[in-house]
Amino acid sequence: MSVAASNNRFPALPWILLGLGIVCLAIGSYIGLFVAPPEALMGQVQRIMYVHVPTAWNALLAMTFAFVSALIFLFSSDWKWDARMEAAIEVGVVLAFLLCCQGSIWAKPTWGVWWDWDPRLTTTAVLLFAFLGILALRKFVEDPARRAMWSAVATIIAYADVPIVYYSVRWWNSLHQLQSSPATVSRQFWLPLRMNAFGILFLMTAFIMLRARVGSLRLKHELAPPPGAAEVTA
Amino acid sequence: MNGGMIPGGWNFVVAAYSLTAIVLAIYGVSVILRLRAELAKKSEDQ
Repeated sequence: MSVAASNNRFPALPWILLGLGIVCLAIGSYIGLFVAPPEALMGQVQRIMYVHVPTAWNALLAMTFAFVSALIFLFSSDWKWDARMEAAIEVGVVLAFLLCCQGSIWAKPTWGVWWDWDPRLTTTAVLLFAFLGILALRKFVEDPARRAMWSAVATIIAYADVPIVYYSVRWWNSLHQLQSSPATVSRQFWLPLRMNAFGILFLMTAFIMLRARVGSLRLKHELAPPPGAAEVTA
Repeated sequence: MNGGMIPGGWNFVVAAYSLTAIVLAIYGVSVILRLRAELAKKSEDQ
């Protein structure tokens, strides 16, 4: 099977997921903005949670998928996993950027500052720039084999920051609040939270599938023998 | 008195939701455009 075909086994699926994601996000955001009550202390500002927390979950999930793809590529040398890794890193970077911006907007009215070098914020910024660096590395290396190998190794190293981001609020004294659980969040709050979490999950999956297809088509082009090569060897 | 609740804040909420929608829409469109360009290149090669 060619590189391009292997990342296009279900051509309609990303478009279905894209539609589902938009519907879930529209319903979740409507409930979060107009139906759910304001929180007792943070008031209206807490409504940012319905997009901020799902973005955080899905950013870490995208980077986890990039890590798994990097491992599979290193063990199998199957090019489709290189395209999937690149796609997951790019989507993860977009979500991590969004996460930092949403967090900053939430920080201003609650903490009084746009940014603080708090452990959670700092480790998230490190994560964003580490994965951004891997995308830059992929742009600069022209040889597909070296590019895939180096970026897979870099992804595995950069992924070490993901558990640090998750546990930073427990390990260190942080301004950022601890993780909530269904036991500590009222149903009125978790319904829009989960709707948006599924919405961003569907969008993220659709984006990764479409972006992996772009990567596969580019790889197919790069790995194809140059025109006339068959005649020379013949 | 507002009982310790942060007053107002709708402008921050609108900013966060608008930014999310804009960034996801721009990224989605960029992926679709790149896919269309690669598919066009593929059909040219064939």
